[in-house]
Formats: sequence, structure tokens, C-alpha cells
Amino acid sequence: MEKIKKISILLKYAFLVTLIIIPLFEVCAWVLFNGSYDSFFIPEFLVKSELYILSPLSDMQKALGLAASAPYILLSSYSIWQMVKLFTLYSHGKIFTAENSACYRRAAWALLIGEIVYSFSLTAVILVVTMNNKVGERLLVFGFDDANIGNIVIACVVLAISWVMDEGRKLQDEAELTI
Amino acid sequence: MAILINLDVMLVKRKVSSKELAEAVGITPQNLSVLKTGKAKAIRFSTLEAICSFLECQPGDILEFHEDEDITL
Repeated sequence: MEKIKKISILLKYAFLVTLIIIPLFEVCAWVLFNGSYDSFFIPEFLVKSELYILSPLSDMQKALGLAASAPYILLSSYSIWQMVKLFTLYSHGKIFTAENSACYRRAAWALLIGEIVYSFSLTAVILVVTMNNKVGERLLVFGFDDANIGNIVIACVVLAISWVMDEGRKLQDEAELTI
Repeated sequence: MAILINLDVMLVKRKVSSKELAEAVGITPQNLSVLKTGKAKAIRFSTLEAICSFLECQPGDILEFHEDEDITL
């Protein structure tokens, strides 16, 4: 149990740092992105889209791009927040509780919905960043790749784990109340 | 649950305290309290045997079934 507690504390802080870094990076990326792929900050959606025909982005485009990518980032952050809560419970020695399985369940659903939202966010982001391009260079993209499928599979596995955890919790409850 | 636990009645009949019974049976007073208040989900045969042996009674003296009753103590 001590080992679980120690590792959980470590993972809790790792997820907490990730929770802060991801939205911060996304905001910085949109604000500081100068339109060049050599720039230090490139918004996640543009990295993945491999879009090389960009006119310099206006402030309005950056704001709209950030707004378009926000739902996916928020869902990802919510999923990570559930991991923070889960490892906080583990670090307190709570392994098979209703709260634990709820954390798994909520994280899995956020991940699952996030992957669906991703495609729409990607479409919106590409539309926004190419809207000032020359006619013929404006893009409307709808993407769904193997990475999305991989994440959906992971979300389904986590969802299954949440059900198993809930059954484990019920068994523990029963074992505790068996005299 | 429709199963009633009449352990209190037997303890009074035998003039035995809960603490004595817990020590004799080898369970904690907290667990005995869980059993007495009807919050327990199951009782092991070994626990039942130890209780019956110490109180010199039958399982039926401790456990009672009431049909069509949903009693939470």
C-alpha cells in the first residue's frame, strides 16, 4: 500500500503539471504563433494538420482559433483532472471506492467525447486559419485518423476498467460487511 | 432485509456483554455492532458457530426470517 501511495503522489503531481501546461501551451501557441512553421509555438491543431499554406494570422483569427480548439482542450483537461482526483484518492489509500470508479468513468467519457469533438474542432480551426488565404487556398478539412481511433479504443478500455473497478468496490463492500 | 438479528435478546438472556462475546468469538466490537444493528451483509459459518457455541444456542435463536418485511435496523 505504501508503494501505491508514493507512486500515486508522484503521478498526481505529474498530471497536475500536465493539467496546467496543456491549456497554457495552447493559449501561448495561439497568441505567439507568427504563422511560420519555424516558430517555437505552434497550436496543436496546426501541428497535426500539417497545413503549410498560411497567410499571417490576424488577432481575430487567433482568437477564433483558440475558441475553436477550446472544447477539445477543455475535455482533455477535464480527463486529466479526473486522473488527478483518482491519484489523490490512491495516495489517501482509497483503492476500491465509488469515487475511484466514477473518476475512471468520467475520464473515459471525456476522452471519448473529446475524440469526436476533435474532428469538428479541427474543421473549425482550419477554416478559421485559412479564411484570409487567397481564393483557392482556403481549406475545409474534416479529419479522423488512426490516432483518434487509438484514443477511442483507450477510452473504451478505461470505461471497461471503470465497470470492473465498480464491481471490485461492490465486492469489497460485501467483504467488509461479512462478519 | 427480511432477516432479523436477535443477538441482543440472546445476550440479555445469557447475561453476557457485547464485549465479552466479541472477545470470545474473536471479532472486533465494531464488527459485532455491525452484526447487531443488521448492517452486516453476510455472516460466516465459523462466526455463527462461535457465537452459538459461546451463547449455547441454535442459529435460529439469533437469526429470524420475516416474510414480506423489509426491516432496516
